[in-house]
Amino acid sequence: MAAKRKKGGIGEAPNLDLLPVMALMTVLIPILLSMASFQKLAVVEINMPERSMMDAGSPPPEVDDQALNLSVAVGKDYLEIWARGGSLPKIFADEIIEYRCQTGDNFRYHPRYQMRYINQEASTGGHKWVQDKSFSGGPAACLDGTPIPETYAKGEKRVAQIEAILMVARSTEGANSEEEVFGDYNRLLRSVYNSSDSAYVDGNLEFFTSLSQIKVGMNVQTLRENSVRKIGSATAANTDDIHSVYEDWRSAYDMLAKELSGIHNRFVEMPDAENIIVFAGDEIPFDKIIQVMDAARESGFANIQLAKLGG
Amino acid sequence: MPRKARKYGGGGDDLNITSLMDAMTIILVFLLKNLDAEGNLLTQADNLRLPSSSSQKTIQEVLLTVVVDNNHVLVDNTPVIETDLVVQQDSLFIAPMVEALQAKREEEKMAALASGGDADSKGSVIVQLDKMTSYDVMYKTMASCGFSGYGNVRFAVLQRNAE
Repeated sequence: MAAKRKKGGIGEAPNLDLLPVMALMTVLIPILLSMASFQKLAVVEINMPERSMMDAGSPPPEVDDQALNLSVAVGKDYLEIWARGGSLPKIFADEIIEYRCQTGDNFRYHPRYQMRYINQEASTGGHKWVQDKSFSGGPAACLDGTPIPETYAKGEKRVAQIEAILMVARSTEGANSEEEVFGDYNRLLRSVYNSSDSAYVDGNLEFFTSLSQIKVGMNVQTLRENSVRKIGSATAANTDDIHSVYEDWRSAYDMLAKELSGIHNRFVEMPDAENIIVFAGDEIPFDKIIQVMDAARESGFANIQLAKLGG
Repeated sequence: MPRKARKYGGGGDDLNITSLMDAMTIILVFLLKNLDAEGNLLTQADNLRLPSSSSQKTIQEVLLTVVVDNNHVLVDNTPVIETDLVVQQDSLFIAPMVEALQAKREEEKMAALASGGDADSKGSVIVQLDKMTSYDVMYKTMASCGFSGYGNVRFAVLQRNAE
């Protein structure tokens, strides 16, 4: 330091040569950028039953009638909660598949009605899915008309990828049979979601059904505990921006989460209040199981076990 | 502009890069802060699309991974059986997979014994499944893992943005 001061002299600012440092930075920044992970990986744990090989052949342990014995059955178009040997009304749902084609088109296909929906606000990051009138029905096809096969032969090039499978809940109000529930297009439910895709509910844990119900200044919450927040015109602490709120199909997983958190709160003193068994059929995709497990975990069920449905 | 030109013109040799340095330093610090201390413990297998989940549990350690994609079942990056064969079989236990896993488990036990660890503890395995994998294949994979002594089965997922 002393030497530097002497060299610099009085009133003469030393001219630092920053170029080598710059060169170092230009190298460091790309390296760090390439190392940064933008998509974080996480894990989902499941509980394997503790049964040794010795008793693999013996019958499973007796079921305790006094316990909650909560389980969720996952079917192709329904979710059903069982507890204490009885079941709650099924949550009926339609599958809507979100595809991304090789050409980059992103759309939703509704197999039951052979309808296609496109996102009008995709360029701005919004969610406004409207029916694509140019699609005349039939099997799923990309926007340029290329049909999407249901299965691919080995090594065959994929036309489109499935981005997500939505389980859109159906209203069962006043319906006497399954046919009636699935017979009416208007039974498909709508909900209002925030920017992190959580459904809003009011003080009585009822879902909102239309975007017009959301007004600046009102209090809303999501299905999580202690999630009350205000609707404002800009994002702030405990305030959601009304411009980021959007309306979409109501997910059956949200309905499930709502039912499950109700059950969890009611039976919290039960010895097996943390346990849940997820049943599913052979053909159910892994994605659905993970979504159901998410709903269960968020509702307070930490011990998730898996079992097979039927057969 | 003319004033600026007058000021810096002529000399030409001294480009003032201090402000650029400032910007770079900020970017560098930001990137360093964002960088995970653990780094990437698990790399996502190719042609595999993991489901997204709200799970906040991050991967602590990886000893063994099982990957099931559309074509093969891989244990520790070595293909052991074709996925189609897994779908067709009736038995819950995927024989070649159990074989490979049991061999791995033995190795782990020997290593645990040699280092004075607990050889009887349950082994843990991370399973990477494509999001369209059927429950049937998932169940068989799980059963095979459990049967081979890997009681802690974890499924890799993509973390969804938390609220």
